[in-house]
Amino acid sequence: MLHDTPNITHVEFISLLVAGLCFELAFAFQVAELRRSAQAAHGAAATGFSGVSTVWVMGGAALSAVILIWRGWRFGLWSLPLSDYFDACLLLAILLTGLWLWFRWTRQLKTLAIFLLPMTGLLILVGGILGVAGYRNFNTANPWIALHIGSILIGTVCFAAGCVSGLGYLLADRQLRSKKENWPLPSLARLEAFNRHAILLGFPLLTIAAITGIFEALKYPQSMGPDWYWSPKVILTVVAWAVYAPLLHVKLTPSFRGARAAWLSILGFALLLAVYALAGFG
Amino acid sequence: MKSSPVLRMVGVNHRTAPLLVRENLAFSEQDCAAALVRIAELYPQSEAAILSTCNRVELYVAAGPHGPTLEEMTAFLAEFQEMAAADLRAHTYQHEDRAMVEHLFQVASSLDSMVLGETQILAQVKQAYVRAAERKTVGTCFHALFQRALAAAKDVHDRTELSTGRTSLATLAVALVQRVFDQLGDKTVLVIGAGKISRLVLRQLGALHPRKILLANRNPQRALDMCGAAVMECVDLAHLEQLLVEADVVLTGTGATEAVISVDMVRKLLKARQYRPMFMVDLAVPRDVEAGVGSLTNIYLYNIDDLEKLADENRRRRGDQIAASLEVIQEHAEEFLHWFSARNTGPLVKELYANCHRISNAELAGLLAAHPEFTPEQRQALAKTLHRVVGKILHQPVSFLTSKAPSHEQAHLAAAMETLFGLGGKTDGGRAEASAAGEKMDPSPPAKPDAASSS
Repeated sequence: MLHDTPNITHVEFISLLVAGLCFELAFAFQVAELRRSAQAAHGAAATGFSGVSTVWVMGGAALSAVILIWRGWRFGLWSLPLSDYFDACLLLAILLTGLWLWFRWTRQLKTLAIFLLPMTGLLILVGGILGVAGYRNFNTANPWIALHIGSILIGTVCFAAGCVSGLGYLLADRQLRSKKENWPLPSLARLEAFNRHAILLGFPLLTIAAITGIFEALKYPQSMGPDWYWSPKVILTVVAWAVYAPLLHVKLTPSFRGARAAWLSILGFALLLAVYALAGFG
Repeated sequence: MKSSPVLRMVGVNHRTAPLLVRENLAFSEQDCAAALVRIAELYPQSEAAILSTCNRVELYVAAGPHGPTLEEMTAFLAEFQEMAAADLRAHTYQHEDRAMVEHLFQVASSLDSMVLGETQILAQVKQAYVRAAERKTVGTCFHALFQRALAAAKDVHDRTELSTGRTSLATLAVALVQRVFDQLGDKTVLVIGAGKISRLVLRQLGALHPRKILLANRNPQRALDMCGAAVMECVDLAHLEQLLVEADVVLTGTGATEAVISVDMVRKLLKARQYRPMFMVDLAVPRDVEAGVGSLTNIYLYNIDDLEKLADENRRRRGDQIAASLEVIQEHAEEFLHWFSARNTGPLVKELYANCHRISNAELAGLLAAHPEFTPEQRQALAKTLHRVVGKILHQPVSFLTSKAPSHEQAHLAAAMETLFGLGGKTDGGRAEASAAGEKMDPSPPAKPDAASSS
């Protein structure tokens, strides 16, 4: 039996589950589409599932937007539809939908879009759990916090793109080594270049988020406690930052390219997700 | 039916005839033109086209009155190419009517080709059609037939996966290179040895405009002669390690009995290469590159067996598409045969309807003359009723006739109809009388033989 909490009403929660279901259905249809196109070399075949998955993704994103706007109205935060982790997850899901659409419309990277859907579905789920767990106002009226959260959100989209291209790279590498033509994927060179560009964009944003976070922790020591620098959230953020750093300097660290870079971009994104989970539940 | 052509073909292909026979029978461009002219002289009321490729020679004819029989077509081919008819007959296949249509559609769709799914045959069929059209040896029937064959072939390629997946080793190798590198504009290709397949691959890679092509061979001048302009720079094989540092794509095809590139050699070079990806294609037997090289970081190695396996897999996938392709062909064949049937039987059906309506109109005229008291509405209703009766009586026989594909059976049915209903000038007695009476009558609603024939 669902009960309304100060943070989330059961209507919002059910809507959230429906949005998550939309993304999962889109994922199922896209897998079916990929299986069909994989029968032909390099994705020549067109299937009717393509349009269906787009409809479900757009449906999920539209529902997420409606929930976000509704909550903005309910909390009187029209200036920025962002009050806590629940809203942040919803906004991130919408941003990832934008990234998904971009992948779909980019012929060479089309196949990669599939990796974003389970990621978006997971975000929706985490958002729902965090929403039920409690309400924590971000206080976005503070420009430092607004900058902190904004850079985290946009940086996360960049790192998600890096993670997706990393997954694509590993899959393409595996296909080449197994000497089979299964999934139609972009070339390794394109995937590697895309991965590097995504991290090149995300890394400064992560750095800004870390600096503004440290600034806030120093300014308001009560928010994270006196030993904030030993908190798992901070340690994992530093580790993630250190993971991404060598990927920016291929000339200096040539061994961090190819499959290694792909693994690191996946690891970095996983660490960031862990940071968000710790921040939300902490 | 006296003017309906019979569709016939005679031919040989790679399955029925050895290379020697195909070579002797092959028609050059000039031969085709001369042969078509000769057929037009011999059989002026027939349509003809000749399809001659390295794997097949086929003569297609829409035989009109006094058109060639299958035997005469075989004899014509043999005589034209100065072969013994008996020798040729042992290797030919022949098709008529529906079988001929289906065969042509299958040929155009490459279902009958040596390499299933190849698209060159489509252009060759088109060329055969255009050539015949230029010599004016095709008419309404062959225009429709060949255009439908080309449409069927395109439909097969669009709706099935018959032509997907590469089957030649050279194109496969180039496609694999493109799975590693998007474009080769800033890449260096190193070719070691200059075998036949290497040259084919190199020719295709050259079309992608790599930054540099290096050719390493024990005899550089010979290699240069063999590969010609495609090679930009000949280098000494003694500096192999240095070349491997520079190369992004390596093609090897030497006749060496031992591996030219070892795992240790490449491992040692990884750092110097800054771990850049390298794609290696080993086309030599025995192998030039040790198998372990393919396991090194960012190094991808394919040998001739790997390429063969991929080609086989693609061939198998294409084979799985045969049933789907035949379904598409069947749809097109049915549509063409329906048109052809209606075209053949149309005049007969039209005449049949016209005769019956004339008779009914004559009878109606007599009845109305005997009953002047009938109102105009009653006269109109009687005329419409009679018209419907004629339509309903003729519907069954006409539908049965037009539903048949062009065949001997249809010809027999049509002949029987001509005799039974006195069509095609078989009898004039009753028709003249009916015609005379009909002319006096108000014109009845026009018969729709075309509509009936297509129902």
